[in-house]
Amino acid sequence: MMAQPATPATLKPQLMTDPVLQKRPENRVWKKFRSHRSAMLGGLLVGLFVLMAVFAPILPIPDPTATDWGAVRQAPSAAHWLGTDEIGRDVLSRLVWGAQASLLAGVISVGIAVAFGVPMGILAGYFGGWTDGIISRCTEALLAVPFLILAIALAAFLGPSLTNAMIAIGLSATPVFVRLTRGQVISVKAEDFVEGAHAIGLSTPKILSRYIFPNILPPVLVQATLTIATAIIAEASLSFLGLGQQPPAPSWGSMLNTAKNFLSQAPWMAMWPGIAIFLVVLGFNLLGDGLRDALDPREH
Amino acid sequence: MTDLILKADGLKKHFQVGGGFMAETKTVRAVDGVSIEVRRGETFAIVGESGCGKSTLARLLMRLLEPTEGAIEFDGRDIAGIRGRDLRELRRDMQFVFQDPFSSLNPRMSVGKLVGEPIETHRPELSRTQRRQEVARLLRTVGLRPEHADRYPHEFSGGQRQRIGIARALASNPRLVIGDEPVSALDVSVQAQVVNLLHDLKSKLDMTLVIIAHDLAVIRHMSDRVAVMYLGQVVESGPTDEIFAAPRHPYTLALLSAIPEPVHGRERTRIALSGETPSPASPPSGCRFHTRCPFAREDCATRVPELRVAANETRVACHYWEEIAATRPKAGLTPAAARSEGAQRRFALYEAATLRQTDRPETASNAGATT
Repeated sequence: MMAQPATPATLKPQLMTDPVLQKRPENRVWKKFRSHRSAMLGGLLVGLFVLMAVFAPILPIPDPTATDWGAVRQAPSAAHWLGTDEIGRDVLSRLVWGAQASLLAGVISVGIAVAFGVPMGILAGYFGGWTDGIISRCTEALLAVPFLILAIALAAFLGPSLTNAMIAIGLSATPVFVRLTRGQVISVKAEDFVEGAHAIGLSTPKILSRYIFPNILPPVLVQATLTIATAIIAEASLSFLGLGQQPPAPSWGSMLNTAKNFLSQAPWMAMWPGIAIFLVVLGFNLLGDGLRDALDPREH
Repeated sequence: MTDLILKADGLKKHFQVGGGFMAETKTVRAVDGVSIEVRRGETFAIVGESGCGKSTLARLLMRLLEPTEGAIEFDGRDIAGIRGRDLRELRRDMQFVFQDPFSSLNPRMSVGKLVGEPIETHRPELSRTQRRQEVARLLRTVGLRPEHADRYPHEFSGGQRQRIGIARALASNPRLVIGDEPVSALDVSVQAQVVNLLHDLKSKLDMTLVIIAHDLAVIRHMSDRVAVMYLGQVVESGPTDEIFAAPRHPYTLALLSAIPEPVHGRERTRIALSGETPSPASPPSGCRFHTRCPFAREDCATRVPELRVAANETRVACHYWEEIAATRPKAGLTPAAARSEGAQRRFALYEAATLRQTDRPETASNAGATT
């Protein structure tokens, strides 16, 4: 039986109805993710802020841009749960609306950085030679410029708007991902199982997608969640310089930047956006950790 | 001559190491002019100590490395320079079993995907269900259970992983399987099982096996012909029985006399080699073995020995093997005979055990899981 070519006709009939073969494998990644407590907490945090950002227009909160000169820099009270800012705008309302800008700035800019950085890193690491030379030299040139300076220069070049700020932050964060990916690819490429893939006769795209990519993913995921934090703060800095979210539209970063002038008189102005950034960043980090563990079949 | 499936002629692989700014580039002659002929249906062994270039040779034959020089023929077709579609077709007919079962399987793919991958690549006409059934059949063939397909490599023992590796190699119905020390990373008890599995599969599936090894017991047990390598060159080749019974090259003599003696106090002739293996980056002149050869003469350092026919099919690359053989008439016989006694008992036991296990695959996998 073993020497015969395996056409369905030669297979034993019971094999066709074997319950083991018919069973659909359960989704292992989701199952593991669910049992990962801190990852679920991270997911909950991020989910909460996403819901907040999405439902900002229908929440029963005042207009985030409405000023009230009778209630300037008021401490948290029943009327303004989180207090008011220096021109009497409701901090809670601005926090909820600001979640949109900050989350977008964090996620989209990191998305841009990963979308450009990882493929370039894979190309450089896997093919080496001239490809690697060109990509690596460009990366090093970009890395020589401090992250924020580069983002500011790019944002200034593209013109002030939230979209351009996100593009600028994304491009500035790209070199880090190129470097990280390239290094990982070079180490994974030397593994026996990649040689095994060549021996099987797999095509290069399949080797890259099945063998290289899944094995370089964990460090990239962790780096991405950390960079989301950096990106939210970078957006704040750009907003402060007038290159990010345009006033009077709120973002956590611009709220923080105004609040720093009133730290002693109105600490709540800085506290709430600070806590919000902290929680979102924590949420993304826990989520990234959990995702990394869930994607690794060796972890239990 | 007889029907050849694989033939290498003057195969060379030189690696450039070092180099860079102000540094001298060295050439490592990992494989330096190897010619071998593998016949259809036989088990051909390549033996030698660490660093003699046998793994490089295996990768050259498999076309995982580009030869620096020389020709490789598979089934009468030159494969030294092929690429693209031709190379992919070659991968179907020629498969590889790796030394280390812990690093040669992608940790992020399930066993089903690992074994199904060659089927997907080389027999794309099969549907997903057919492929899954074929994977189940292959897993049974190597003594694993079909339900193992949903598990991941880290959940298996070394012996089981090597079975997965073998199933993966068999999936494309190859005609030739090259094993690069397929059992040397395994426990001794599991080694015999895997060796016997390869042996059984070879005859059942009508394949040719090329086994790279440094374990002489394994080679003696399973191979029909053997080539002994030293520093990137073949020093002796011929039928296994003949070489084990009457080794001619001094290096083979030393190699065989290094096999541990299972019986205490038995008289034996032992040839201890002195010194380290010279670096393949600067191999000795003349006969490469002359620096360590107990029988070396002056002109060994200047004259390069060619492989020449010694007896029947045995070839030896030594100027003075006739004289050495005359002075040491019994050399090699004692250790070989002593070995076979113990080894045969050991292998007979395992063979019996494996036979029982292949009849009932459930017990085979359970036995493997305990290791």
